[in-house]
Amino acid sequence: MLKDKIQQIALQAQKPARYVGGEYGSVIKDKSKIDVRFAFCFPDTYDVGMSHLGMKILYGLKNARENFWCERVFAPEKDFEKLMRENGIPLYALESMDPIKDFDFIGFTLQYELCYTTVLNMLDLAGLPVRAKDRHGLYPIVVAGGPCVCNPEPLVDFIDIFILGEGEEVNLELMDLYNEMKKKGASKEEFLIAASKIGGIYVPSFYDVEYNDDKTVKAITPKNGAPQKVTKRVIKDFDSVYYPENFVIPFTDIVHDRAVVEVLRGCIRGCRFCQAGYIYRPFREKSVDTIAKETKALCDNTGYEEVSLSSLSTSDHTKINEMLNTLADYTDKEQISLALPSLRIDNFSEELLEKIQKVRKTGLTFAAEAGTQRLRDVINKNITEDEILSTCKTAFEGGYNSVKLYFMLGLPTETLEDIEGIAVLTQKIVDLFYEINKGKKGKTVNISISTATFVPKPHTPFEFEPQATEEEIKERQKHLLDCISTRKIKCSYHNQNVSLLEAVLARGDRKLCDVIYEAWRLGCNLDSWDEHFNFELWQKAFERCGVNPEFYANRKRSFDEIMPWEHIDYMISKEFLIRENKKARLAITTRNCKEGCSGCGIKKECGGVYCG
Amino acid sequence: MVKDYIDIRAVFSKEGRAVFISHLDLMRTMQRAFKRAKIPVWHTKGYNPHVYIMFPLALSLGAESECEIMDFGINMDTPMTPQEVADRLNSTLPQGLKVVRAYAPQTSHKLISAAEYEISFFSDEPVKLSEELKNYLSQQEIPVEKKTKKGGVTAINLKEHIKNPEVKAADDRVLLKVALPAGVEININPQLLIDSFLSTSSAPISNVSVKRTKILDLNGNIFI
Repeated sequence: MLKDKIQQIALQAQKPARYVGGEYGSVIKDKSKIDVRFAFCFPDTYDVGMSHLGMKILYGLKNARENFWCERVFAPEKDFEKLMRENGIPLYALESMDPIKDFDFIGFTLQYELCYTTVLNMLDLAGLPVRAKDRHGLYPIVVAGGPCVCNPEPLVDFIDIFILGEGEEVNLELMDLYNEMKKKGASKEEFLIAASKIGGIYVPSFYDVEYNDDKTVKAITPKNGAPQKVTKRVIKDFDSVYYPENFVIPFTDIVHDRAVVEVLRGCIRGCRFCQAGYIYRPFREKSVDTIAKETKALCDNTGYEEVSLSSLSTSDHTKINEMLNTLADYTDKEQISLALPSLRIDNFSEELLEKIQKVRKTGLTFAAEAGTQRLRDVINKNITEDEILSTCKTAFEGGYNSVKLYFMLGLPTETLEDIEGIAVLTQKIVDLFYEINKGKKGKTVNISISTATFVPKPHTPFEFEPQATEEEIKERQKHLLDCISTRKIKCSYHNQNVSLLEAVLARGDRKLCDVIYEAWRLGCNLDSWDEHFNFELWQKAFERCGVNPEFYANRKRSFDEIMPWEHIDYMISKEFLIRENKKARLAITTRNCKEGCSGCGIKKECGGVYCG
Repeated sequence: MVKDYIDIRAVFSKEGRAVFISHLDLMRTMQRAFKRAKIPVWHTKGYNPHVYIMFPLALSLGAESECEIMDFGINMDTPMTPQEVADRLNSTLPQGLKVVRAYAPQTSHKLISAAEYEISFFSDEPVKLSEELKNYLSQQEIPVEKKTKKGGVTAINLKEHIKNPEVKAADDRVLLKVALPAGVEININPQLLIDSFLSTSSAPISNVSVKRTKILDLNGNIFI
């Protein structure tokens, strides 16, 4: 039996508990009573994938249906993959330990671009042809969702169906349709045609893409009755949307090992570089009652000693103080700690600080993003230096002595003056610390600056912008180091080659399918891990396919260029993006949704708190 | 500080998929099970209070056990009988972990001095293998290298530590029952014996499994 075989070899791998399932909260069903089996694949290791909230939601949602069974699948680390291949073990699901090639659906969640080769590797490890056109039967249908499908074009050769936007409704609609058609003996083609009529379902093989001589897209033409544009799905009534009352509790230590409650979705801010800020619009929130109820259920059922509130910006909840007071009453009593990531600098009050302190004094992290006010205005990061300093002051007075700051390099219109601004601002924070702790012995401060290279993303006002070249980034990194004069400030950088590859894949077109395939054939897998990332292999893949990465990453795109994702509608209108891009050039900020609507294109019917 | 809890000792089994839970992971797994079971378990008093549990004896990853021990406290102001603690835990433990009994301990865990194991060597030639194993065990001296806590190695005579070995051949395996030192003073991992024997054996072996069956005190009685 496959199960026995897996258990025998598992002990030879690092952390074998990741490969055998059996965790508390995992859902086991009688497969003879199941109509549709879904293998939910996270294209990264167990430790990363098990931390992902979206998977927990959709796992619970699908398993709540009696006739569906959703199981978890992760990418094996390289040591276990080797053992699997040597022992003829195909990729299996953790609940039943059955091979996933026999499932009805294989679903991937695409959270970051660097997981693409892992998707191919998992399909191959499952014993399936990686290209969609080579999989002829009705099942398994390979689907993909998650933020990266807002430009799915680099993966169209491998995936049968992309699911755009929020999955709570559309996943069930798709599975119900499949169940109905499978019983009638439908073919894959017939199912895909029917599926393409569901809102938010994108069947890439139903679209022909033509290119201009300059390699830009000339036209995207649907066939088989598929819509000209596929619009993302949005949950209108967010307060009553399904939320799991239990999680699968891992044995091994994973990245985020705690209860998580989603308090709001979408973001009101409109920072111009931030894809999440646009593709998850509109801003919707859960009521304090719902949040409290879900927190209690989840903590009771999981036994976690820590609960974290999840959102893009928790402090933007309209009833943040009431929410925290209600939650603190419960968590204090149950000896559970409450974590609040995603707080914004501008509304980081003393009261809030006190609440986080009550539970745990973790480090403070601020995403300042740019070093000067001018550049912060360009990117519409509406915080001022005064706000940053006053927040640091509150924190230092509260006993904090380390602060982490995030900045981006290579933002549109950036000059060396802006780089110097990072050093100047950071120095002011250091000075502030010593001013507050004047006369106190042994007090020292640690400021770490983490700089990432800006990656222009689809559906943002900067989707037209070139990414800075390696030379430009190197010059700016060097300048930043030259401007820092104290050892209290530590500076770290992201890998430049990673940022370049992200830029290529994020805004790529269908020609990248061959590159990804080639890179995988050359051995690329688990690219998001520093120890596995091999840029030389990627370069070889680009060369072999005759594709120039700079065409995608470093080229300025005109406003009238047809983007590879022109037919993928995330409800943010191109007119709005162009308007925002022009304002960015002039360093004019845009008000947030709470202050007033700026006409991004999101429809009123989507249930946004501030929409109409 | 005034002791504000009642000591409880639980004996639990670990089998099936639970053998893949490492010692460190077992701590987390139990802490969460206590929370889920709403047992008024004593929490540490630090800045981040957490459920306090002590496992006096580690079990190797991959080994089964019928008799693992954990010590913890129940808050004095909200007492609960050991039986109820056991029942509640069993209702919320992951498959493969089961509390066999719980009681108020009479002895310190420091009295643990040995453990008994059943080691199965799976083989197509059990008769040959059992002869090899008997010969191996009847040697005057079995020199092995044992890892020290500091990361070095020290040479020991394994023979001195092997107590009451019994070898039995079955259809598909050879079963070795043996007691080895366990506890604070000296601890011999059965894997040391397995590796040492395997390096001398010529019979084909497809798999080896280990099960801890008893934990013994200084006098060779079952530790309670």
